[in-house]
Amino acid sequence: MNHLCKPWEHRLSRRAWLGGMSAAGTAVAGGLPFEAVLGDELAKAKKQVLFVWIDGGMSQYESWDPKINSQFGGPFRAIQTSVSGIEVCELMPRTAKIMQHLCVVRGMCTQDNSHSAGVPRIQRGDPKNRGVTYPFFGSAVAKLIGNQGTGLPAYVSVKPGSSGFIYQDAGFLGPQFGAVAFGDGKPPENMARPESVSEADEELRQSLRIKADERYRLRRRPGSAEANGYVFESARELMRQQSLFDLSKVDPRDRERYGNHEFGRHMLLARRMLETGITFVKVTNYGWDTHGDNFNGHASLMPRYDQAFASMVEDLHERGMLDNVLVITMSEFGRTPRINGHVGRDHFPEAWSLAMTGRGVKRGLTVGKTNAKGTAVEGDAYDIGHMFHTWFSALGIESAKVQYDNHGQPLPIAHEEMHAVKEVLA
Amino acid sequence: MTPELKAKFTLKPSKKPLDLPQQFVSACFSPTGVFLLAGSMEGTVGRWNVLLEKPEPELAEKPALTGLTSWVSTCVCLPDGKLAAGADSFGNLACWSYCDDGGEPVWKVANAHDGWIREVIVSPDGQKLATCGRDGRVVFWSTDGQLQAEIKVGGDLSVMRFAPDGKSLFVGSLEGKVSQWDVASSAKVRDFDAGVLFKPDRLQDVGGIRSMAVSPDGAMLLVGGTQPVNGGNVQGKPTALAFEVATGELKKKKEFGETGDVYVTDFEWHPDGCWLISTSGNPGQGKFLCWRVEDEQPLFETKLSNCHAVRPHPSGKWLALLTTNANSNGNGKVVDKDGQYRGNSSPLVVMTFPG
Repeated sequence: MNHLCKPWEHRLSRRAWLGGMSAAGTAVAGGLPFEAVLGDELAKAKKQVLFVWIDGGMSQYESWDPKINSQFGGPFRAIQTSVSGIEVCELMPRTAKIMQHLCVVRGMCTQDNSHSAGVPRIQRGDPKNRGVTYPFFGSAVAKLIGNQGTGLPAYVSVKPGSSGFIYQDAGFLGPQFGAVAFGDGKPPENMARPESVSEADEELRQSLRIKADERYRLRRRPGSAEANGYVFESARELMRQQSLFDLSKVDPRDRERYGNHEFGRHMLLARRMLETGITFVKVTNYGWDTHGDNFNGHASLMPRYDQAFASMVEDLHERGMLDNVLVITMSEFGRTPRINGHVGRDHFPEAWSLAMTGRGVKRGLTVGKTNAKGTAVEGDAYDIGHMFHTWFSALGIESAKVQYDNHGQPLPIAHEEMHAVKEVLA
Repeated sequence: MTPELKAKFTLKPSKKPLDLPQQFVSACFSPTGVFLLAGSMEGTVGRWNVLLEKPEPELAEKPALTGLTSWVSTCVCLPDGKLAAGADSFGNLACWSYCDDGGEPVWKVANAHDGWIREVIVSPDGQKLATCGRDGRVVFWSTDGQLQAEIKVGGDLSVMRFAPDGKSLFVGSLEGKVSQWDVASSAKVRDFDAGVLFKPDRLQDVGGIRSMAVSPDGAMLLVGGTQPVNGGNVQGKPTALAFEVATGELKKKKEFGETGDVYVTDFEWHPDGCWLISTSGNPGQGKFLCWRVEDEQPLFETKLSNCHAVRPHPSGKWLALLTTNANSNGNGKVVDKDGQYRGNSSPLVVMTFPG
């Protein structure tokens, strides 16, 4: 049996993209309006999330949980961070300097060691099987918090490759809560109003569209009509915010700090999106499935990650935005302790790490630990359900009480047998 | 390629590989072939007596050489028959008197490089050592550990070789650069275009120079690696490039397998005019080959699980290949019969020359 990943496992197909676009335009959200029972507190302050998705599986040994001088420790040194007693791999020197802002969870133990099942399972919070497809965390936040009056999409994704509307992320919540994806950090095509169309003509067109919407609404379920209107309104607001995507207008020193590479540019765009007020920004970085040549691979990948991630956290801190923005950086799993014949590490969900900072999170600490060789979690192990509870709590959402209403079916927003990790919460 | 020559390089594997108990990343024989040293992933250099009187080579374990930490990616025996040098991925360089029972180094230079030392080699006259590594430096050392000179080459320096006359040094990097340097003046002589072995992917850099050798007459430089297709799980055809040293001209490009076979990991010269070559790719995939630059087809080829190095025994009767055990990969927790998490090992495959 070949355990190696195929390239297409990491790709969004054109068919899926087209399907998403079609769903965004025409699909029915599927029933009654969704009602989440949210506390008053939620409405008061702006809450945002930056979700940095390291697709393929970052090695915990070569990042957050080095095990030097051990059987599986690998060739790299550990370095001291800005927090006494916490060390990280030498491949992340800039992140080491901002450890006072970070909370590293070293006790992750999850259930799935394949990409195809693991990626959605992790990003949907791996709830109990209720016969429905749960939303990705981004879609959940889009539903529970919304766009907070910006008019912009509540959930956007900056990723390599193609653009589109990733309705699949929303699961049973319906397409309105899917991700608007900006492939290669570019704005959607044909976003600008053509010069041949005057502003007045554009307004006329929109009023016609709104009337058509109203007629559409009369013959459709309310959720469906809302999704339709939402897509149009978001597109219009994006047309007004086009300068967001023009990184040439950004201070060159910022471009330098984030790095002249794909991930750096995407992270810089993400910062601008957070500054604009978008609720949930996901940045995806590919290429981490290092079954072969893991160490040279991480030696090349980690500095780019380190540069852009540390710059982002520094900037959010300097702007006072860490009080509002919950920052999460993670993969679908870690990588195996044992080093295979291709000098690579394979998939390892049994003991791995993620990191977070910002809103509602204690800073300058590690939570959970692995044994001396990194082969197992020692003490409390945390599944992704624990993290969903923790993240919702950090955002002020009472995850044990708040429920989704799926056509009258109440559904917990996170695994009901798990709980928030108190050590993480401020 | 004559039938006689082909027969001469039709090697036979021993019945059972020599079992090295842990994972090793480098190996060398002493000049007399009595000792085998191997650098581990755990900061030690394993040491064995090679029992030459047995029908097939056997090993008797001796106390390991200590003083280094982390991966001992490189080790070499000096021609004096007494000293061996090794270096680790934390930047430390050490030298041992390997015939003595004790395992402590006779000298050690802590932080000889900033981080991973990829290679330590000895000059043809045995009078100096050279090291290179991730910090982009080549450093020359006396055999008693004194720093003599330094060349700032730049890049992540992965491999190097002295010319047979010791006057120049060839250096390769993970960025796919190959250059020749004059040892006396530290001046660059020329570059060689090995760019085909490197891919500056939008996500990560892939490939680079993984192996190198100079022909005994100094006329030809061989560099090896892969033609990278993608990063992550690196794939590509194992490839050797043969350059004319005098002009820097590429004389031959030779592929030794398919994309899953990935890297040419090592070259060694056989005095009968043939290169001994190892390759390592996806877990379980690897080869040992005997090949002459003038031929299209190898004289001999056999599949082995992930060959990381080929070491001819000084007797000329056999050679050893540093491999990784079969079934070395797999997702999730793999445990042995006692429930312990299972690591991998490095079987040393012995191949015997006919006659």
